[in-house]
Amino acid sequence: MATSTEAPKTVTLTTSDNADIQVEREVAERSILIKNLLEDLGGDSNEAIPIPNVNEAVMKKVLEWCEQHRKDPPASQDDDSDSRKKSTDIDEWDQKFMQVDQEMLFEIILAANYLDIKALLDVGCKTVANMIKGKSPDEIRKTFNIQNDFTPEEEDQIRRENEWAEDR
Amino acid sequence: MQSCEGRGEAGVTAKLLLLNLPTELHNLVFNDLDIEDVLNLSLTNRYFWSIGRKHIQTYFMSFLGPWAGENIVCVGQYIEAGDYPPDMLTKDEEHELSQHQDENGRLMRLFDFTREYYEEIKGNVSVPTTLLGQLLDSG
Repeated sequence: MATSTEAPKTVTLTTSDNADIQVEREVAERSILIKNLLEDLGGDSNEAIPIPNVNEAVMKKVLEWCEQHRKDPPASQDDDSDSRKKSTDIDEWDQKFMQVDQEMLFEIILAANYLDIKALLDVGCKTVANMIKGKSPDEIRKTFNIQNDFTPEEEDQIRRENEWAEDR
Repeated sequence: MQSCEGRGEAGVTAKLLLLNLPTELHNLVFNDLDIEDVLNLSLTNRYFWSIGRKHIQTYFMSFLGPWAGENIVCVGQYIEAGDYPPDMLTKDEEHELSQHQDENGRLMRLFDFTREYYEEIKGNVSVPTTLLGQLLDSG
């Protein structure tokens, strides 16, 4: 436990585009990847930590989320099964945070996955899920720029086989 | 480098799309969807169909063998009161059972108890057999 009164420890992250970002260690440690790296490096290394898969713009956005959620309890292992189940509720702050263009949203998801920030990854995937909900295949294609590569015959066949889902 | 360029509207071709995410992340999105939406996303193109069908399959499997992994005891009328394997019932259930007696003041037999106090489990979902068959074949 941090009982000392000195300034909070910071770490430096070097992004893929070679920007150095200084951030409080507690905030950075929302990322399990960074947390483990820091532990491996041992206590008080001042070395900058390279994050070669994330650029500055995305890293800043991710750190903004980490800052907001710095005091969240660590996710429990058995979180997976029930609480995650189909619930696409996202808390208000996170919803606002996720109001970005699609490319940024996917960048955040990729970064959260790489940096091992499960809660952020969850929010990202739920945001995508919410963009899909209630849409027809055609609307989904338009939303995400997906090319329909089924032949008309195939599409017809699949549709017929799956009529059950429509009148549930 | 000059990755900022690609971020603007100009770099349409280089844009990161949903399809560019790795499959493991698509699976996470599928996990957050109800079956109707799983189906709709699966129907958008071949790739999502190949991912989605596994989720559709899992959905169907959840209707099959709902008793798998459960302990099942088959009781008949011939089973006497109190005759069941030790630790089969929880303390609460045993207590509940001991509260009920038949008209002669005898402890209820498991057979009557289940008939009186528990409902029959009915399969209330008609599984679409053609699609299920195909999914099982392809599994």
